[in-house]
Amino acid sequence: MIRSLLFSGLVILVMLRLHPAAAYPVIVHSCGDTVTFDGPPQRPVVNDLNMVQTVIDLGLIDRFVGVTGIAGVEAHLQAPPATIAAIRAREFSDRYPGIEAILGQAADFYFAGWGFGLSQAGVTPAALADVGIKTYALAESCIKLGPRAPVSMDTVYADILVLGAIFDVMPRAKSMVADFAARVAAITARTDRTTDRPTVMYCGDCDSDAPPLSMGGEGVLNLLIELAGGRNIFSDIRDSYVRVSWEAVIARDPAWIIISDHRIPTGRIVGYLTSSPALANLAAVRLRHFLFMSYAERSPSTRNVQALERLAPALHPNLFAP
Amino acid sequence: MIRLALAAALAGSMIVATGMGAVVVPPATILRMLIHEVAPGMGVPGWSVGEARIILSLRLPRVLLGAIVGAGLGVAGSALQAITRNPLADPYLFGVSSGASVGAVFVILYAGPVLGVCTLPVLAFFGALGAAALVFGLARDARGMTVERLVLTGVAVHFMLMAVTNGLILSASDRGADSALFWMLGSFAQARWNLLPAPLIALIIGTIWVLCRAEALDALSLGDEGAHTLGISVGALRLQMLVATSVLTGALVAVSGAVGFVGLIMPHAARRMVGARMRAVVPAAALLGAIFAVWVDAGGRALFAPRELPLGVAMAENGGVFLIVVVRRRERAGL
Repeated sequence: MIRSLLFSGLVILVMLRLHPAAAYPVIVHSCGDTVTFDGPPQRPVVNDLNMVQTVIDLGLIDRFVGVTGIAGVEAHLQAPPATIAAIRAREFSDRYPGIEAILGQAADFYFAGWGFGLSQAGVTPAALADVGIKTYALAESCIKLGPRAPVSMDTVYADILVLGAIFDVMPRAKSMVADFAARVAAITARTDRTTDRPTVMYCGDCDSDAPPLSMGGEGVLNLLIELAGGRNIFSDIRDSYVRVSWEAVIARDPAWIIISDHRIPTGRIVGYLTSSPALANLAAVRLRHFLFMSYAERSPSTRNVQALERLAPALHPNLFAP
Repeated sequence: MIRLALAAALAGSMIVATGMGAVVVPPATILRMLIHEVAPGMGVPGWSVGEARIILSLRLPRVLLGAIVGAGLGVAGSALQAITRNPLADPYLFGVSSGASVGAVFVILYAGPVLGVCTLPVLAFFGALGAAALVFGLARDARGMTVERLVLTGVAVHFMLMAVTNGLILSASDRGADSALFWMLGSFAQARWNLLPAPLIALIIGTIWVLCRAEALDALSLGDEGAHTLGISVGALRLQMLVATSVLTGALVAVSGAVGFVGLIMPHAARRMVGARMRAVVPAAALLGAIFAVWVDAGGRALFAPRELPLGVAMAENGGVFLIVVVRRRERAGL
């Protein structure tokens, strides 16, 4: 109770700070950078599936002139077919774009994240600023630059509120955050005090003997597992996506395995997990405790709460019995 | 004598290294586990099912693969340094690693395991052989091939194939690029029992082949003319050894990625220990390479657990230091 009070207090603080009477200039923080907007971006561009989903859910997709990095997986977007067709028409690069490609759209704003289209060796906010393009980077992804405040739902809400401020749709952003906060509270009211916390692992690239890509303690998925009343077996790693060893997976014995349905067919992943002799004794494999998530559900986006609402009842069926 | 000591050191290293990693298992428990595996009635199992899976399904094949790859690279490096008379020759000189990368990256990012679990090693192996064949083909003309032309062609083909690999990675929309880079830096993490027979057979045949030509390879140190006067057909010997080392290295790189430094450094260390004669150098380089690879991999496992880092990271670090030490000691000895 105290935690959730404190929590909504933080949300209100964030809202107040970001919403100086719905007027430009709007000043936002993006991984330590301060970015000033004198008006809403006229030619914004968004990269990768989770951020495209967020833009769709905020009702902003029609204002974006370009979309990148979602080739072949557009079908995973949760949107009407007409919207998806329109997005496909605006896709100017089928992979993460370079600065020239972004400039080619005469863009004035780029919504991406570190490791999600921004990299220190390639496209950086500073390099984009040099050519007149403003950047907002996913708050969760700041961990790729160095230590930041531990990930919380506020990390997810920050992105929504910042976009609300930049595009002057603050009422919509606020009501979305309020809805999310209420839905999260409804889950945590049941899972908060449980002492039985099943172990969970995120298993990326899990279709071969090569070491899997999992999730450390600093990703949104780790947060969702915690809120759902579970325990991420790699929460001790201070990072988001990290490559781990199969022997560590066996040693930590997950009771549940989260599988992404993104690019590798889920049948191939389940096939590998259930046929590898080394993994035969994992609790999750013996009980076939596999939970599928879309890319937008497991990475920072407006679909994280939806993922939480599926994850928590799977981990704790008796807490959520009707 | 030295050889016997090295073999004992390798056996000890492998047992200790098998216990190192995300979960530490004492050597005594490993031995009891092995006895239990051979004769299930013997002894009381004092370990968890998880520990048994880790040791028997993952660690043992991993340590064995490390030893096989380390030994094979030591042998290939010794032979190549002899036939090129170049102390900087390493087993990847003829594009073998970059050819394998093209095959492996293609499977990881585009094809997927279309032929089952062996898809990647098989394509990587053919990539490696294709690259070597290309180098030998381009380096040959009517008068045969000179060492200089061979080395320069190898460098050129290596860079071209690396460009192809990088092009494949950069034009993939997938985030699988990360898996591709991991593979390219070399790792023993994907070792399983079914992965071991092919590189082991290549190691045995390759080593025997090189040892059979040991005297002829020694004669090459006199120069092509000198060897010729001793009745050695230099061109045929060189081609034979190129084929042997390419097949051997191709079989290794296909299962482990390009594990660097071992093949370059171990022949130098071996020559320091046992002299320059190939019959002594080859076994010593093989044993040293095996010990080195097993330890670097075990160190990486213990240091970075529960993370998995590519072997190339730890290997280059240790290999670099090791080479500096060897070079400095050689200079002090006035050699």
